[in-house]
Amino acid sequence: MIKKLFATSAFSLFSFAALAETDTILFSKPGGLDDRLLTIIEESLGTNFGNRITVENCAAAAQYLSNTDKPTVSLWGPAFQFSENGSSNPCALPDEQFIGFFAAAPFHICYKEGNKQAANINYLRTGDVTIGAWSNKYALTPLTSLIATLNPNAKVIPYKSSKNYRPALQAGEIDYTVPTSVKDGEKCLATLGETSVDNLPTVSSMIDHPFSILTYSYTIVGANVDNPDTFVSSVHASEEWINRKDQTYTSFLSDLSRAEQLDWQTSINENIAEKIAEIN
Amino acid sequence: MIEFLLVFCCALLLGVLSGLLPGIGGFAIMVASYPFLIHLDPVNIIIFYITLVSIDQFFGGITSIVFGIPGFAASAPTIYEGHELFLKGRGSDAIIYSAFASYFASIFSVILIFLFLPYMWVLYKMWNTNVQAIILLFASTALVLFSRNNILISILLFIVGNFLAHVGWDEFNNSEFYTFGFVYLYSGIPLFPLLIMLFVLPNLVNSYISYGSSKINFIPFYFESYFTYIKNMKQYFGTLVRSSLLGSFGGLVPGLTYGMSTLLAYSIERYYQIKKKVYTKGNMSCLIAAEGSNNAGALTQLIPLLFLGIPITGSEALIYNILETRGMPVSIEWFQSTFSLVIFTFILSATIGVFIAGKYINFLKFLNGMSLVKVYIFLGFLLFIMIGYTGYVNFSLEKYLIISFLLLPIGLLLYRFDTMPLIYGFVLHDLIYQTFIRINAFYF
Repeated sequence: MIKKLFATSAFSLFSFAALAETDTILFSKPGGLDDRLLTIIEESLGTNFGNRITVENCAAAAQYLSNTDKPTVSLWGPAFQFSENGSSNPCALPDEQFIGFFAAAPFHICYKEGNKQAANINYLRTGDVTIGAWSNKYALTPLTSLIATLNPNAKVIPYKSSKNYRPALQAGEIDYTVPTSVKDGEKCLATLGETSVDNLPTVSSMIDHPFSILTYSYTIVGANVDNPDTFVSSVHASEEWINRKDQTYTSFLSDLSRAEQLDWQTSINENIAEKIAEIN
Repeated sequence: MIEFLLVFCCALLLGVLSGLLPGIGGFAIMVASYPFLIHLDPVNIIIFYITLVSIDQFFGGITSIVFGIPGFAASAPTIYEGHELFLKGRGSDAIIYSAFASYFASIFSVILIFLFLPYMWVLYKMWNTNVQAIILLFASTALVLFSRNNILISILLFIVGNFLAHVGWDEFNNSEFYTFGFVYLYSGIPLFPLLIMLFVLPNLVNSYISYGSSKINFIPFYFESYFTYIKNMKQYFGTLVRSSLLGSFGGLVPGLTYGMSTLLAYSIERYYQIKKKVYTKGNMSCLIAAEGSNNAGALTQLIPLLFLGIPITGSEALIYNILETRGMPVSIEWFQSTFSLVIFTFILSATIGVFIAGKYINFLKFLNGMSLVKVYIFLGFLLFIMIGYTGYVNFSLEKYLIISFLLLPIGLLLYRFDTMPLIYGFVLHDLIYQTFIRINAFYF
């Protein structure tokens, strides 16, 4: 264990040794998941960490990244790169600013603990069920399409955030939710992950659908970064990442090269855009 | 124990600060205190929050009454009725009755929680989208009907408020709405400058026209008067029970919380007063209804967190995140174990709040005899600074200032109107929009 820690620390130090100070950008409220993940990146940079710049939203962050001449990174996501029908997304960045996929967590299909009817997989597959999900179009469209295949009788109900769909689950307004992290009072029935998590069956083993594997993922983007190809692996090798308390989010697509990861992101966004075009 | 006392005292002080300073709400204090909160014992984080919210309610009301400026959006009815009472020379009455109403509502909500604890599940199941839609519809209709404007103007103002709130990036449609390509507008128009320019400013101009040449008449308050006020509170008993009940139930609803229940309690009380033909601007019953429902909701909004482990407000989500970051077991059992201490702290802070409020009145004696114009000029500067400050802490100083300057002439033109429908149209927009989306998904 000590050897492993020493090795990873040495690797981290070596990886960042020749770097200039790197700034980070946060564009969400402190205390949230974004803040926690960004803190891990900052701590993994050690003495090479410069300053944290806080801006109001992803569009402002994108503008900052386009204008800065200092090494600067930010947490990002495929959703920010998404656009449909040729419309422009104010948060979208050029491909050269993509550094790599950082972390992801699969969505699960969960129910209220104690709800025996909802605990039955047949009910999920055939019942007149209601499923609460995040109302963001980027996340909702593939999920709605997937649920329509999983159970044609199911209705997907959009909620602004987990602050809204979790109480709705407890109140019995909906039968299931689709979160990435499971809270006390909730049990899950299936995962939208690639492989089984906590012995949960995967939806991909039940149906064949382009979105049967769905994750909420974070990428890292940046400007003027000296070593974009190894940046993410350096963070993943750091003690801060390995010893993080909340292990819900794990490394994602780390076996792919940066170019392959970018292709993967482009392809998933194209699939979602196609699905939206189909619905329209 | 020492940490508890320190946390409690800090929260008391910060609660006073967040109440007195416009634009700095409880959530802003929670965010600013985040670096300290993460080192506290988890129970004390909840204690910090409940003390802060409770005290913030008492002092937010005082600022609204005396200066006509808001602590938060739910202060709009307090400003409308309370500041008018202040200008009529009933400032002390307004503050003390508000403080007692807040205290009564706090105790009422505690009793209500104890009574309904075994039935919490049954009660909670009532809060579905349909019920929320009915409450929203009822509150919005009441707001429009009982405003002093012509109904058509009130409807128009309500629609304008909704329109302004929709500006920004719409996640549901993955599209922008009237951002004109300005990056800072993607996260929408902020509430604070809008509230100041389109509600506070027209109200202050209106008050200046009515009372401009007069001097402030502020009657000092004596400790012995507490008993007289308590006796006099009897006449408002019905109002207190109604508003506390609405505030308590409103606080339970995710997304509604006490801002919504304040509007509901206020609108219903205004309806009663109009029906009894005793309503004029500066109505004590309406003020008591607004202030009482605020405080009742401040406690009950914690119930989903304490008994279901679900954070329903920004501050509660922050607490939840802190616990998760520290690898704490964020279980329902743990939250429930804090219940007794939360209740004790809430009652303690409410009791302290009611006494400090009395003391604070005497501190305001210096206003006595001062010309209203001087006070309003001072307020203008203060509000300008606070807009700048809130803009700065929200990383968009330019946006706050530009929006303020753009809205300034509109606010001046609106001085003849009751702009509360516009403000609540803005505040309720998100709820209305989300509820509409869900109703559509459920039934169509």
